[in-house]
Amino acid sequence: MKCQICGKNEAVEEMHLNINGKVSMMSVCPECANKVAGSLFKTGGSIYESAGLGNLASALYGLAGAPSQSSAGPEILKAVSKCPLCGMTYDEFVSKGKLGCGECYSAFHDRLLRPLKQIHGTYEHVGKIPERGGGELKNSRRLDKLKMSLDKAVREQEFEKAAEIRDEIKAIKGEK
Amino acid sequence: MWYYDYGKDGDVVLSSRVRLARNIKGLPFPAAADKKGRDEIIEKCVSALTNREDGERAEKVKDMKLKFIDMANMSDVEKQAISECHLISPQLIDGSVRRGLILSSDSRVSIMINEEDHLRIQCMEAGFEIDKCYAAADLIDDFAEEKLDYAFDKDFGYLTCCPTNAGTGLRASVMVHLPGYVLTGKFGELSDTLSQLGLTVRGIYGEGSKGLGNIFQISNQLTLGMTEQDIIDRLKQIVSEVVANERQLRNLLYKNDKFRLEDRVMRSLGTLERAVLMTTDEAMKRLSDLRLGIALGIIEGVKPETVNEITYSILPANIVKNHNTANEFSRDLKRGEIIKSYLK
Repeated sequence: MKCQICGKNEAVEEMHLNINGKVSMMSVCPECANKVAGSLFKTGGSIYESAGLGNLASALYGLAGAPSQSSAGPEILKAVSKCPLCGMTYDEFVSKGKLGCGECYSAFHDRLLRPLKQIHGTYEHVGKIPERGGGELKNSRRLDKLKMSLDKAVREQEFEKAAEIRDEIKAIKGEK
Repeated sequence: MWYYDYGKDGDVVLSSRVRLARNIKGLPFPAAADKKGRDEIIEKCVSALTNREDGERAEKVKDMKLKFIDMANMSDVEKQAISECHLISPQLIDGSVRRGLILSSDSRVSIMINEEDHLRIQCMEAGFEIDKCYAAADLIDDFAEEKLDYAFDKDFGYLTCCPTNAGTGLRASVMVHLPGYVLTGKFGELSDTLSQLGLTVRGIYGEGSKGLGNIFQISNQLTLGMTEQDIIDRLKQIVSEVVANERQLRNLLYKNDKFRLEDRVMRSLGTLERAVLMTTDEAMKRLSDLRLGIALGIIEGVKPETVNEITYSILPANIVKNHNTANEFSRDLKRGEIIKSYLK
């Protein structure tokens, strides 16, 4: 479904609005959602902070409560973002504890950091990297390792070794 | 079957298993996919894993003789029977959506398709052999990745349906027989300690089956933030400790209460050799005594492999599958017969 405001981008947000007492729902893209939010609220911040997402909070996956909008003017009653691939909302994830597809991890990236940290104590993968899909990440991990050993070699005044490592780093950077 | 074998540290560790959860990029997970989507998942996984002749890995995987089975073509009792033997998870039995299974000819490799994730690669071995299991799973994973684009994120690792599996997608587990811990009342303590160390202990058939036959599964809880090798090494280190303690507790038990323990073991052997009707629960309890008796040298002449074979042959769905019994009573009767035939 296309965004009901710009008509161009894919709509991944459902906004429930209250404009002068008239309640309506619009499907919009993230950019237009932020524009609408920006026009309604003078104070900045993301749409998720200003809309009533605090209701979704659950022990594990929820966010901290959001400030309620008590002004008489237009307000966003609820904003629901959906995963662009499978259409799952964060709301549904909170109730089921399961995600709909790999894209959900990007769609809800920031909000998944906390639950992942609660489950695993971290959100940093250090394990295996796919051979084809992870080429760049493999290089950057190798570079990090080499830089660490370069620092160590310099610290310990092993300059010959340091020069070798520097050449290796150059070679990897050159490959890219 | 491999799971009848008595492997390394087989007096305590019955079997080892490694599971990798993987998903294909750009496709919804099975629960969120529609029928067409689920068919596509099966088709992609099957063509990535079977009948391939390309490359070095294909040569090695060929030896496993992987074969695809459409779960829709398997009867319910057959599904339950292989689930009892831990070749598939209970979720794969549910026939409400199309699911698939790729099984090696020796059943050591079981790849579930359209379980919670697109792919669940499982490799199993008798005894304490986590490294072997991981090596096989890793090979199959690399082999599949030659053809499949995995859902992967540089921060979150391999992306899985449940965030508890994200990262490495790796679950390593051992099935252990712990009568020493249970009979000395130390099992609760062990369970608490293991959970503090980031491991989970469950009964042989998951949460609801705590303690059936004193057989438990110990597995890693965390999958993100550690390398595969770290996860495996940690589990191995802790399980080695559990194995050593279990042996010590058994010996202590025998030393402190020799005749009572001998009586318990011999009564169980006698019951198994003679009883006419036998429920699953009683059989598992008696078989645990039998295992303990064999390990301590109280019983000679019964091989541990035989006990393993009995354990799997007398599970309810396996009896129904092999003997077509109509009800619980005829199952209990058959169970008694089967056990007697092995212990003759």
